[in-house]
Amino acid sequence: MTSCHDAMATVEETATNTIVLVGAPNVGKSLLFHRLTGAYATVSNYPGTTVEITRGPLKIQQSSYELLDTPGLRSLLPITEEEQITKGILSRNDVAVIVHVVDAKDLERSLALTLQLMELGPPVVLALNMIDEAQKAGLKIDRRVLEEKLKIPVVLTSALENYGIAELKGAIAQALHSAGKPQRTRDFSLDDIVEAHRRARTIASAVLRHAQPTPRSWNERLSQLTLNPFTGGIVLALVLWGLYEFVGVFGAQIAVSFLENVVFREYINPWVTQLVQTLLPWAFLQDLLIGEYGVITLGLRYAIAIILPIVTTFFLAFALIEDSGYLPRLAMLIDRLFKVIGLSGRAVIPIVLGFGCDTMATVVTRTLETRREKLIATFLLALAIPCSAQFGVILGLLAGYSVAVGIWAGVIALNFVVIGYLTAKLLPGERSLFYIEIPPLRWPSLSNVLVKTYTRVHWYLKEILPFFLIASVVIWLGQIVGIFEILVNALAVIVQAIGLPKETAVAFLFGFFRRDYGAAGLYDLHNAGTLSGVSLVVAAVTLTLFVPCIAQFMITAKERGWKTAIAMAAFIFPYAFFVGWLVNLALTTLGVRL
Amino acid sequence: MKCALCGFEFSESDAKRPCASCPLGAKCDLVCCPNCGYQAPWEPQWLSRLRWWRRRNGVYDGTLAALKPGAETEIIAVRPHNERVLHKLTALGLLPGVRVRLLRRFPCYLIELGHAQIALDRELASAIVVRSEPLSLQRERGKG
Repeated sequence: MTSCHDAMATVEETATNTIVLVGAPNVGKSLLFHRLTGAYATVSNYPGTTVEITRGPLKIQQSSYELLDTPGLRSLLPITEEEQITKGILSRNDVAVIVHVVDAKDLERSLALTLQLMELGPPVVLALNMIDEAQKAGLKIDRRVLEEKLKIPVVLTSALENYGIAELKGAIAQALHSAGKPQRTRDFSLDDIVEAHRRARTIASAVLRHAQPTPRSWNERLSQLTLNPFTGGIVLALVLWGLYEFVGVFGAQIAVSFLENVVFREYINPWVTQLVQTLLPWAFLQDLLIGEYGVITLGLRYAIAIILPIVTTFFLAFALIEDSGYLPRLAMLIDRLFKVIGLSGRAVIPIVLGFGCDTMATVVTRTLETRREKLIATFLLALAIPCSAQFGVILGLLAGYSVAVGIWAGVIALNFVVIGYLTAKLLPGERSLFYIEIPPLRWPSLSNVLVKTYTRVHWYLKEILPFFLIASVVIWLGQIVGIFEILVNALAVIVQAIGLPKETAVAFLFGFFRRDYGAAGLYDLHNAGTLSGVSLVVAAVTLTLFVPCIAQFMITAKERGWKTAIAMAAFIFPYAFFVGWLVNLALTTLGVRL
Repeated sequence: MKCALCGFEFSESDAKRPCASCPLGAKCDLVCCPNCGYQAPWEPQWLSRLRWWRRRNGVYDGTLAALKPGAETEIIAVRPHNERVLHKLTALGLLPGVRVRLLRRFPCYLIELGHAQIALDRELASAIVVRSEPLSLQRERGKG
């Protein structure tokens, strides 16, 4: 009996060592997490970035605890998948303290969740974050009275300004020693939530004091400009133009040609070729490393010289847009248009991210609410959204022909709308509703943007670099065995049927694995002068419509199921060739010369 | 449509009624006003659509969707089509007793509550019943 009891006791002791950060989306939870642990978690302005739970060590009074950062939560009556995950974590019995992080400006609405959390059992600490913003907005919060009313520690913090972090740690330490309340036995009902909000309002009115309303700041005025359909359209055009100049021109043309023509052609390639030729006298091994499809001359060069600059510039631009709070505004502007293709404005977030990396974007479709919307968004990502690598390569390819860029973009956009519309018509299910919080526009913090860009580029390279290297090896093996030839010849038939020279078959074979890799293959053909303007457009259109890459296919299978993923691929490949054929037919019939 | 002579407004089915006693039947392109009998050509469909749309936006049906931008009011009930939507609105803090201000209605409904701004589509906005008269109007009356 005693041994059993001891065992129980030790389990209890080791078990309650988790401290959980909870709060609505967009209250600076992740940055606060970063300040508390020193580790990094993605910080963002739109709801739903912290899809994965972030962990970090937290030292309090010489003992170490595990700090968990959770996806945004508004009430204990969860709606989305992410909210359910958070609720699941909160009801685990290893939770020592719950830290509720709220936006101090939004205290009135947030307190309801504090009241609900206080009924879960573990002690709760309330962190009034972004207190600097609240003070600027003319709000005064009486912390003492709030503490008395709630009977829990309340701390004023500003994660951005690194203010109040030590006090928060102190409050957590204090809470660790206090006993929690007995756990609530039944689940929350809607009435409980409404009641919590009512009580929250009473408490808030006792502790909040509004100074005289501040005049509308430049921030608020700019915010209204982004939300007005007319001026918002102009802002959007400016954002897109900036994005094009930075990613399409600077990244995809200037940086790529520097890395490609100067760094690789003049320095790395000759040096490596010489090194390999002296060290490895065997021709077939030389081929593996420095041949036409060599690991270094092709695999590494594609990854570093062509893909890396484009992806880096895109993710840098995306992080800036994301942290400024522009995405929810874009979602609002575009909601009505997206409803036509069966999506809500919320889907703007994965779709825009898809222009960076479709695989990452497919993961983010989780933040959408209905199954139908998730399915449509995944399908459109797989079909019609070119990722930054491919986008960049194609912009680079078609750089000389502005009409060609127009035709390519027009065909892809038309596909996006028409296929989206038809899918929405065919797929049964609930219509999606749209709601989103519009956070204030914020000046992005440089360190946050840089770290975020680095994390994403790192993720991306880890994803593609092995693939590019393995592809070189596989092609090399295929060439020795002869399968490569057979496949290329078979593809050459299809490729010629849609009016392309048979040399492009190699690029299309690559394209089955990664469409950007295929597009990069076109780049070499183009440099060799084998492609006419029309062929370039046809090849670019066909490759853009391909399934993005193996990784994206696997993620689709994981998120939506194998059946769906295979059905999508089975539709997309033939359809891509069909559209390519159609474009070729149209251009040749009309006698277009590019 | 609206009669050009007497101003009587009638629907398409009302307009068909006088045709029963007319020798031409319903085959001609003219309509007779059921009130005064005045003949006029059929209103093109897009015009009647426009009329319907303007009315929909102009007539106050007691929900947030029908408020004018700038109006400040209090939520008195939330009555969506299904429970999921109710949970969503509750979680956002849109509850009876809460004061909101409508900032804009196009391309989306944008409301302000406290220091937060929330965008809603028409369907959600029309699920929120607000005090029948905007508070700002009431205040003006109180002054006068």
